Amino acid sequence: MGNDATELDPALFENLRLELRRGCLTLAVLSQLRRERYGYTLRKALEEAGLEMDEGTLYPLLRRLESQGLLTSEWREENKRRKRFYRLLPAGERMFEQLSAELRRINASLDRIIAEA
Amino acid sequence: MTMLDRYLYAVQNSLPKDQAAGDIVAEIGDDLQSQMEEREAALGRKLTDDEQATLIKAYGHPRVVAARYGGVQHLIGHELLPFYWSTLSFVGTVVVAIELIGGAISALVAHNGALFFGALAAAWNSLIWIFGIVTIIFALSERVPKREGRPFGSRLFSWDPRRLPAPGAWPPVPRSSSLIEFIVNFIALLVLLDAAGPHHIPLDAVVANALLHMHATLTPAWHSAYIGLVAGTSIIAISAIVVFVKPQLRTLQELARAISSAVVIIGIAFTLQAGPTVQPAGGPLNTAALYTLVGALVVLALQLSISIRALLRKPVSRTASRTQGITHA
Repeated sequence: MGNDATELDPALFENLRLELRRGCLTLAVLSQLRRERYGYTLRKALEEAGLEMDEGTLYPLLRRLESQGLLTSEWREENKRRKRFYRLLPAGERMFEQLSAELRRINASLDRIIAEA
Repeated sequence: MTMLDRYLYAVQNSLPKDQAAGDIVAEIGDDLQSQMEEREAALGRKLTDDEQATLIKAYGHPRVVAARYGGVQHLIGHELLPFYWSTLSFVGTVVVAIELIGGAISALVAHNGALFFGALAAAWNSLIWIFGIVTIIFALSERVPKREGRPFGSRLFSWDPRRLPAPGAWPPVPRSSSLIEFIVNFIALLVLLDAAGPHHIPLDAVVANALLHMHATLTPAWHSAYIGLVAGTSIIAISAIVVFVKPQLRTLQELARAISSAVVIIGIAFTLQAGPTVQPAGGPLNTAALYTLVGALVVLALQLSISIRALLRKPVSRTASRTQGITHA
């Protein structure tokens, strides 16, 4: 008959996990950029918070958020090397607040749905 | 030049032209250098070439890294894809049909069957061109800035829920099926109409030569079957054009098939009653013609019964049963 739990497809699980995670990454990045950071320290901060994000995902995401008017960036020298520092714009802060509220609402609904299942 | 410089140069060369390549590469370079410094601090020594290579390799192939900064990664996205396929099939079938009909008419007017086969080759070329042009137009549409959140060509997205077919309605006839039905019957009609005076259509020549070789001729008994066949193929060819334009007219298609089969059956029945179909009578050719006509009658009767059953059957699609499940839940 149908597949049971012992036949869980790891590749399928990984795909669904990434899908589930994708939407949260933007919110995580916005949250960390309420304070100015450059890419590497941002990635480290996310990693320490338990949300690993590879460079190939982070830097294009930062560019996209900047082009959407949520972030601003500035090249500055630090430790004898030029680094690009990012921080939220007021529009980014408002977006972060709204998305956080939305995530909390979704979480509360999901908690109820999962508990009832 | 270091290994990192070569890597960054390769990324820069693969970046989309509209991106600020210098900025991107500088940022990637800074990230990789930070990673190397962190690793060196942990090890208490400089990284070896192999260790550097491993770290850079883990970052990803230069083209893959660069591609992440691109915008649209697909030629035609999922929103436009269904419209792309329907446009491609519609334009393709219309152009091919026009070329084949034009070629067939030219062949008849010029009394040169080769013109029809020339049109076949031209139709094939046209299909390749249509594929290229339609693909380019849709690919460009994907890249035109969106208005109101809809891709270019948003007219494609205009639809009215009130005009969708009702659950249980006949599913539309695929346009490719109508086109094939039309072409087959149109060619058959041309061959039939050419039977009286050869226009160098190969099939006619083959039949005429074969009969000549066997010192035989067809008798006037064939007239009824001939008229039935001309009428039957005409009915199907005309209905195929109508159904091509209005694919939801499946009933018309089945009705045309039923009438066409009935007309040809009547024609053949009169032919069989009229006496020998091949001169000289009584030979093996007569027997072969008789068996052929009886075989055709059986096939046509089968087609007639299938069409009548289809016309009488209440169309209940799987979609309809699913919809009932949803609406009654």
